Amino acid sequence: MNWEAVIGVEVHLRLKTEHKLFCRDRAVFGAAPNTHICPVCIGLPGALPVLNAHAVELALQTALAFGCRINLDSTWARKSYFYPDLPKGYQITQFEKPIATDGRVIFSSSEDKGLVGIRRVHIEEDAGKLLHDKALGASAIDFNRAGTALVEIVTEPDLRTPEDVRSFLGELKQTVEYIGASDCNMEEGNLRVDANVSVRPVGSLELGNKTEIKNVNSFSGIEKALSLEIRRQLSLMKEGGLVNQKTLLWDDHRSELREMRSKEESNDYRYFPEPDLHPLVLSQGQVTAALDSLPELPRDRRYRFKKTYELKDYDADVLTQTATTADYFEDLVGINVDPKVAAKWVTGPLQALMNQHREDAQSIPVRPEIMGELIRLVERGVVSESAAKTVMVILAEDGGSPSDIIEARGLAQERDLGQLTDWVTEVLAKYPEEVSRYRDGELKILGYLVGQVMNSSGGAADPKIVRNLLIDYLNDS
Amino acid sequence: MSITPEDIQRIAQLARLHFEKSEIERLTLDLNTILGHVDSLRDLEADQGSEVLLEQRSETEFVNPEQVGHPDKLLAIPENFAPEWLEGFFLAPLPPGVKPSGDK
Amino acid sequence: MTLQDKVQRSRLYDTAGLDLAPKSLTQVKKTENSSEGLNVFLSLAEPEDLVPRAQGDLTGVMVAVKDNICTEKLPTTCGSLVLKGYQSPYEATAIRKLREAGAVIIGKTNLDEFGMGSSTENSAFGPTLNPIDQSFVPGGSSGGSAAAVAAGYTRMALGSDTGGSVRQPAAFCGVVGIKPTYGRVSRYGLVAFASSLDQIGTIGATVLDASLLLEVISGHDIRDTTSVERLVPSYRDAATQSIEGMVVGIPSEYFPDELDPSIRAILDEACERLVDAGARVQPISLPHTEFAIPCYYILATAEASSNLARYDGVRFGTRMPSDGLDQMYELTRHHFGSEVQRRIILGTYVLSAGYYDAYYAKAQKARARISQDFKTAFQEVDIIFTPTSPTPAFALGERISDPLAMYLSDVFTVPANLAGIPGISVPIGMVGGLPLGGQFLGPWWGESELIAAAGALEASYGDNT
Repeated sequence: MNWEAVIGVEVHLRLKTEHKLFCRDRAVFGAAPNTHICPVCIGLPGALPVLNAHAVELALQTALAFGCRINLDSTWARKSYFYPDLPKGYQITQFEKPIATDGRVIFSSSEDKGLVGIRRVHIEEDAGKLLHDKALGASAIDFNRAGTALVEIVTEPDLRTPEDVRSFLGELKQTVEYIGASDCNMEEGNLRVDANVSVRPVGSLELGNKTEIKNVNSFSGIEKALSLEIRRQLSLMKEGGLVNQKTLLWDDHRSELREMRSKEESNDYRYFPEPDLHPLVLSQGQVTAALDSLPELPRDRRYRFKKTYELKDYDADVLTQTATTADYFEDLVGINVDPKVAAKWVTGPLQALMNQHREDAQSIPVRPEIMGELIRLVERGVVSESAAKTVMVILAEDGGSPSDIIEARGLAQERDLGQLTDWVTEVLAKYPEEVSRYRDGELKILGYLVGQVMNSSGGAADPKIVRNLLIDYLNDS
Repeated sequence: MSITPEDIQRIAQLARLHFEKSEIERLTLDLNTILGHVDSLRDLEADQGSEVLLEQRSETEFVNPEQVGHPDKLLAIPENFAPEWLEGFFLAPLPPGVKPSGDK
Repeated sequence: MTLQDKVQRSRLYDTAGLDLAPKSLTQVKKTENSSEGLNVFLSLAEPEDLVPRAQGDLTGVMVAVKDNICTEKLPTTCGSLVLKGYQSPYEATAIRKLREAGAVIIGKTNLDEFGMGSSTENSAFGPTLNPIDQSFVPGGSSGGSAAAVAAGYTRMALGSDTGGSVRQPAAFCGVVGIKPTYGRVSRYGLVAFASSLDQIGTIGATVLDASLLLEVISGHDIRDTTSVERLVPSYRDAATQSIEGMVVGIPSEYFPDELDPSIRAILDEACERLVDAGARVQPISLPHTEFAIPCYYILATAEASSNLARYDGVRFGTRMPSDGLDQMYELTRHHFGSEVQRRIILGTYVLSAGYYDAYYAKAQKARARISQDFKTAFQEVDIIFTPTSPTPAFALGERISDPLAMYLSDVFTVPANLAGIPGISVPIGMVGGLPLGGQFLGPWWGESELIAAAGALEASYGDNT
């Protein structure tokens, strides 16, 4: 009998709003504890929530990007439980009528394409943070995070393998980043993932008992955790045992799953409509406007790059990794740089520069117009590729124009035949052994000689001409 | 519907309230009396009309939060009203199932 | 004294207030600390705080404030051990408006704990006594505020009304009390009991006092989503408006056969006086009235159980030492009084899994019906007249052991909170030496009509109040 895993995922994203969901405190990461709190987000007596409409906009766009159906009338609910990081003793969330339902995400799976149904998307506030390494025998609570805006995305149990889960999450993360709805940084806690997994015989339509996996903080972690748990469930089922429904916590250090001690037999959250807020009412016009304002989504952009610019899959993938990089590339094409050339420069030297400066394509000081100029100079042979990379470094640090820098630093490619011949002759005289080896048939040694000429010229020599000159001279006697 | 002492016990746990046995008995009596009265709502015909009062269905305004002159910074520092405070943090007893610091 | 004289006296606040305030405070302190003390105040201001910091409609006027409204200087205890000594780090919008109008807060008044009760006997700090007869309750939950005005300590006080908590104590103490339309006054800084029912209300020695105070605190507040953007009319002028041609509805459900004959006689007389003033009375029916109390006690306790979850000892207020988190929660929350604990249990129960549809959802339906009753009625009449309470004040200790009897005394006031309509209680006579209140209920945003009718009645009684 063949078995399959059935996996559903719950993703929490922190929305990239300036303020919290129900008050005007700034939603910041990394600030000193309890410095961004107010009566509302720490639940003082008499305080009341006021909706941050920007959060609704971002959630709406996220839901639309996933092809969801929007509920024009959605409601807020109180979800009650006691925990020190939950100031009011209840969380304001959406229960009965979330802002969106019935969407789908297409992602690239190992077998070509995967499809995941999105069951619901809703908005809710986050709790504070409990820390256990600040005080002995006590919890230390920081409420800076309390009240920040989250969007929760719940999928249908359509995923079948841990690798697919990872791919799906990658697609989801990329899409949300394209919209600008969230920074999707798991380390900063902007993205949290929980998974539900069960197993069943292939062909069966029933669902087995599922376990919930929590506390994962990386995509590789979720892949590992799921693989482990599926293996465990399979061996249990194959022995004729039964999977018990429970919650498992992932321990990244030890790469193992630990059963979470059940707090309450059943969590009775006693949902009821939030009386301090009006229902969330949207007009068709607002939804249409949000839809129109959606940027081109990653999947579509990738496809367009391959078709329109005839790029290889790999290049298209790398270029569309982030919207800013893709924009940069298209800016270059827009000023008439050949797409394949632009692709080479953006995925190669520009990416290296961005990494070095820890900047993205939007903030890197070398703007497309300048980059385009430089590329054209390389194409015309004014400067060699390797010298151009040096120019880029200088441009990033000091600004200026490529031509000025080339002239000031004497980086122009040397093409004067006379000068080149001098360098070549010099090198040939200096390395007689290598010359003999070439003439004896070791043709590969040419590269070494070219390198030596380049060194003598301080990198300024045109390597193509140097190479041809050397071959002429070497073959000549 | 009538409520039992076990119900009261369970509800009290949910609400983090603690009662002595005698108090539970008293509460069971009181609540059953009140619920008996409240059960008259069952006479209300099921259906017609929406339950929730929605006066006007006006669309949520997408305002720029900067325009909204909203809340209140705290007029007193948290340290002044926190029951227990240490170096910028509110302190609370450990939740059940969490080991003391050093082992997460 | 005619109403005109009273209006004149109100205008003297601007000059006289400044002198009177500190003297009054000393007098109040002296009286309250003596055997004549009524336990009206849980905290009193210092003389230096009685200097107005702005000029406005209430310059120098002393206002007493119910202790569930957040003030910056004085503590906000809500009559509970859970908040004993709690100093709010922010102030309520209504209080800010008071200060901006030049008013000064003389002190915070006693109340039933968290607003839950009808007698002020549920305060953790002892009951307040009725100034008219000290062996009787002043009503609740705003008993302290009503007593402050009735005892002559101040002319104006703020209270809160969730099921009648401003109107009923006003009636019991022989003063005027107004509950505004839901959304008229900001709830920001009012410690929540039942969010969809609570409103800050005003209590005054006369209709004019209560109306002027209401005018000052009314208005939209960006900090309270449930507050409504709507022009605030001149409520003080409404107090002397004619009610010629006004149609007053008399709902049969509020005049049951069991009503005491002497009370009925007083109510009948009030109706005659309304007619004399130019109004017309007309019988009406509010058929779903019988569901009001059950509906209220489901919705209010459900919301309260949730609103009181924040009192957990973690971020503010009382905290008990313990061996662990759950124990800390329980020991801390054990400081709630028995009425509060009873309501939390009831509210948690009706929201719990399996019971939501039978209770909460049903109650929402009942609420819609009750509201519809009023909508229909107000198509025929301008305002409605009823007794405020089935009886005048009851004796201290008389009902405290019988929760249901206590709840049933709210039967005439609760419907207005469920529908969100405004109501006013005005003194209309005495029964057995205790004041009796008559209630006007108006359509949404119809405060002016209510105030006019109450003003007309008050004027017709002359200086009997």
